[in-house]
Amino acid sequence: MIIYKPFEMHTHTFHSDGRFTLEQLCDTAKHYGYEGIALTDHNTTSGFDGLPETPVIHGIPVIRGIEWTTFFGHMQALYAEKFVDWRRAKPDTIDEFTARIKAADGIVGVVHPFEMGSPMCTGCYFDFKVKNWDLIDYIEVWSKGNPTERYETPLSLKMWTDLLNEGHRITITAGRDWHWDDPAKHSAATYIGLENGVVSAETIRDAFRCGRIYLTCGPKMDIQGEQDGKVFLIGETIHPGSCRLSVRLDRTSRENAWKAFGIIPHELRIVSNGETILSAECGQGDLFELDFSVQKGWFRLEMWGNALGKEGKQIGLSSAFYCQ
Amino acid sequence: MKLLISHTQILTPSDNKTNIDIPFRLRQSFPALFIRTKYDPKIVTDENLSRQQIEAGIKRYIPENAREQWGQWEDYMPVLNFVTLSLDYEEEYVGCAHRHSPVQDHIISENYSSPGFFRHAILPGRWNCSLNCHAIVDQTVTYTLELYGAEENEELHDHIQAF
Repeated sequence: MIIYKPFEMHTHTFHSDGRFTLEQLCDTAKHYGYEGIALTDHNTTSGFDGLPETPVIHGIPVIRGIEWTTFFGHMQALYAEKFVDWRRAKPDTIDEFTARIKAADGIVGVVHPFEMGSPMCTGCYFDFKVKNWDLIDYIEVWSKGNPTERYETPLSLKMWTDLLNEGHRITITAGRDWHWDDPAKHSAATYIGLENGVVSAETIRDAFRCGRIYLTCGPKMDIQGEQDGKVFLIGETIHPGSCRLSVRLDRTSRENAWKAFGIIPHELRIVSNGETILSAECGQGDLFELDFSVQKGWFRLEMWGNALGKEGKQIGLSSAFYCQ
Repeated sequence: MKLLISHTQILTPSDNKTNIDIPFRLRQSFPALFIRTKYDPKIVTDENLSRQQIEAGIKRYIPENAREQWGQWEDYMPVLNFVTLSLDYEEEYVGCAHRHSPVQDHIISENYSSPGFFRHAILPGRWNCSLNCHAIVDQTVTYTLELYGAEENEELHDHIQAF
């Protein structure tokens, strides 16, 4: 049974330039309703020294990660079983390095690809010339606090959409890039679909490789598809034709993390191959059954509504379903 | 403490986005290795240079339709030089101190290491300090590196406080 749990996927402690201890970070994550985090300190995993593969700190499981903080872009590696040297990667050789992380059973993500680079944020803009995108497991499409307000968000979304249109199967994350608590900003949760809800290297790798992930700035979205009487999940492949997506919004989940920021869902959309093919109101009620017909390619669920008092904001986004 | 290495490196903009290796060989074990790093200047004081670089960044990174909100060069002042230190032993990565302070002290030992570094015995063999030059904006940045080996029976706790 797959159970979705909310994670914060981009965090730092004093093992790099964060202000948190790991204990403070986990306590803060718990306060915001997260049920797990990825610890991704810059260029080190020393925060895990002496700890088990997936430590549980004050009840919060911690995914083993590192943020490759290179001069040409930032990337994350999760659960890589060998250290791969971030210092040697150059824009034209990045594929060799991502291949090494994959060979070490790691999960590879591109983070904040459109954040300003030097001199404002050294190396933050993604300048790597990726030739083989199949070596990339995910893109952090929502970055930092208040992702609905940032100019980078539509650029990252377009990058991901273009890659889906080219036929790549890449999933997504949201990352607050947490260095210290900043309660004045709202942030998203990355819901990861885990086998029996267990957080381990094995279940995280499986969820990322299957693309069983969605993001929300607001309510939890239980998403399940059905075609020809068979259930399908995010990241799975169906055939062209009719299908139904059932979406249940849990408007009480993590509400202390988003209700004060005026996040109000209004609309669910099905976007297929880059085009909106269905729109349904979701202002009232909990369960929404969306019937539509899909063509070869991909589709995803989006939730739109208000954020910070402004209308027309994308506040929920599933990873892709595939159709062939 | 025994001074093992005292090294000064003048960094220039041509070193920007490079790693500079400072290899060294230890012929004996030590109970701990102390690392003291300092670079100067941290803050770029040439306002014209800073503005020029920020404005080039705004032009490159921020779409035109977002520049009214995000494109004020003053919001990104001051510009900083930024160098971190990473450490290897016999091709094995011992860690990195990715922090912004231009003056840093670290200790590496089998039972305790400063944040960013793994616990690691200080053994004879090939070691390497790598200066990770994330941003060298000023015409010259002076980087100094001092390495000390702890003496036998030296009270490490005192140094852990200091470092």
